[in-house]
Amino acid sequence: MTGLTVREQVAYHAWAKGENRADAWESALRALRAVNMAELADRSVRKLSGGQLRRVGLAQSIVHRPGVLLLDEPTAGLDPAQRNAFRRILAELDTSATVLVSTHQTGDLSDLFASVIVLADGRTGYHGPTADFLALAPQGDNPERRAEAAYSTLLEQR
Amino acid sequence: MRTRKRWLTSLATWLAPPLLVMVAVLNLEDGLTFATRGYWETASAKASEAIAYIGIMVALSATWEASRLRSSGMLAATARHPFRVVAAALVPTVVVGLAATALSHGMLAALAVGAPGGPSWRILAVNLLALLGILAWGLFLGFVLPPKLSLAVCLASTYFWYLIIPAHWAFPLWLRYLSGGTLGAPSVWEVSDPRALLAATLTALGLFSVGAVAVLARDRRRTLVVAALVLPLTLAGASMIVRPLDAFPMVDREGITCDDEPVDGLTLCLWPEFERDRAEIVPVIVDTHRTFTEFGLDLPTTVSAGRGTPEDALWLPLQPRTKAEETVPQAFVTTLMPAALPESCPPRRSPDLTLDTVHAWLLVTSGLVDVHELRPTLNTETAAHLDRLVELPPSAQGEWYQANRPVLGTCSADPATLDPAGFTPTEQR
Repeated sequence: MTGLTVREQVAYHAWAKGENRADAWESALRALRAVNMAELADRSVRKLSGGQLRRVGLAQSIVHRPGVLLLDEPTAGLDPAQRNAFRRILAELDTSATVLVSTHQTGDLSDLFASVIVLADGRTGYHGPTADFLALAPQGDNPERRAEAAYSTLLEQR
Repeated sequence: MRTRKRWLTSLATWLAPPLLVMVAVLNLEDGLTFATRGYWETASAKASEAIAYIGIMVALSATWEASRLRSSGMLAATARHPFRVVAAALVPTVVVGLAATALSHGMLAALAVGAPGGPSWRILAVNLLALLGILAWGLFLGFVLPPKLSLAVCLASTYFWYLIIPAHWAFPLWLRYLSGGTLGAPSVWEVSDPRALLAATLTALGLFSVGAVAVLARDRRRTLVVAALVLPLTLAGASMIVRPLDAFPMVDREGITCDDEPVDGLTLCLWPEFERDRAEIVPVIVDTHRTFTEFGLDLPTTVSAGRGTPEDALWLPLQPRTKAEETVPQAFVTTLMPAALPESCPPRRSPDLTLDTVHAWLLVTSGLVDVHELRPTLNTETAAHLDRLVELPPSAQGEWYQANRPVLGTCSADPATLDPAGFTPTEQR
C-alpha cells in the first residue's frame, strides 16, 4: 500500500484480520522476525525487491496466527537464490498452522512437507507421505531433482 | 494503520489547506457580501455553495483511498466488514470535509447571529448527504478504474458536475440543483424549494448505492452493472422533480403572523426576524402608506412582509437588518410596480418609457429620492414627464399612476395616458 513501511503494511493486515491496533503493531514485528524481515521493518514497501516483497506477503499471511496457511505459487517469479531463501524461511517458520502449498515448482517439494497431493489431468495422481513419493525417483538420481524424477516416474506409471 | 500515518498518506490532508482557503475566500467575496442578513435560511443556503469545492476534494480523496485499497487487495483479505475497512481509510477525508463544511456554515452564521431560530437543518442535512454521495462516487471510481485514470476521471467529472453544469448556458437551469449546493439566496419571505432539496437527496442516495456496491461487490462487472442501472434511474427521477424549477429555487415562506392590534389603522404582518427592528420599521411603514393613500392610491390596510400571505394584503419585500428609512420606501416602490412586463412585445413597442416614468414617480412620491436628485439620471423624455407630473395635484398624480400601471401589461410604447400634459384627471372631465 502506497506510503507505508514494511511494519505498517503488516500491521495494517493484522488489523484487517481483526486484531486491535496495539496488538497488530506488536504482531507485525513478530511476523517480520519469523520471515527474517525485521531489520527492514522501517523501510518503505516500495523499495523492496521481489523476494523481500514475497516475504512481507508471507508475514501478512501469518501475522494473525491462522489455523490454515494457504500459499499459492509462493516462489513463482523469484530467481533461484530468492527461491532458496524463501524455502529456507518456510522450513524455519515457527507456526502451528497447517500449511498448504500449491506449486508447479517441483523443487519446492522437500521433506519439510508431511504429505503431497499430485494432480495430473485434473485428477489426483498421488496422495500420500512425501517420503514415499520421493522414493519413486530412480536410485542414484540427483537429490536436488528427486521430486521431478518422482513426478516423471508417476506419469510413466499411469 | 496508525493514526499519524493514516493522515500523512491521505490526499485529504494535503488538500485541506487550499480547500479551507478557497471556502473562506468564497464566503468572504460572495456569501458575506451579497446574502440577506438576519435570516438563517439564507445563511445556510449560501453556505452550501461551498460544496462545489468540498465535494471535489472529498471525491478525489475517496478515489485515492479506494485505489490504494484496491491495489493492496485489502478488501479481499479482510476479516472485518469491508465498510469498516473503508470507513477507517476515509477518516481523514470525512474529517476534512466536515471541517470545511463547518467553516462555511460557521462563517455565514455571522450573517444571522441574533436572528430567531437557527441554521436550516434540512439544508445542512442535504448538504452532508450530497457530500456523502459524491464521496461514494469517488469510491466507485477508485474501485473500478486503474489508479491514475480514476483520479483523472474523478477530477474531470466532479469539476464538470459542480462548476461547469451550473455555469454553462448549454445546460438546463434545473440540472444544477441535483448537486445539492446551488440553493440560491432566499429572501426573508422565501425558503429553499423542497423539490431542490429532495432531488439532491435522491441523487445522493443513488451515488451512495453505487459506491456501496463498489465496496461490497466481489467483481467489477457486477459493480458496473448496478451502476448502469441505479444511476440513470435516480438521476432521471431527481431530474423530473426539479424540471419545473427556474433560476431561483425558492418558494414562498409560510407561517407569518399578523398583529392583533392595528397601528394607525394598519394591520401589520411581520416575520420574527423583524422583531428587533420593529420600533424603527413600523413608523416608516405607516408614514409611507399614508403618503400614497393621500395621493389617492387605494391600498390594502393589511401590510405584510410575507409574499402572498395574507391573501389580500399589500406585500412589502422587506429585508431585516437594513435601514428602514431606505428599504421601506423602496419596498413600497417595488410592490407598486407591476411584477413583469410582457415578453412578447416587439422592440419598438415595449412600454419602457411608461416603465421609467411610473418608476420615477413612485421613487419621488415614496420619499426615497428628491426629484432634483433623480432628474439627472433620467432620459430627457422621462424627466420632462416627471416634471409635468409632480406639478399636478396629488389626487391627479394618483389617478395618473392608476391609469398607467395597467399599460405596463401591454405593448403600448406611447399610450395616451403617459404624458401628464395630455392627462385629464377625472374631476376635470
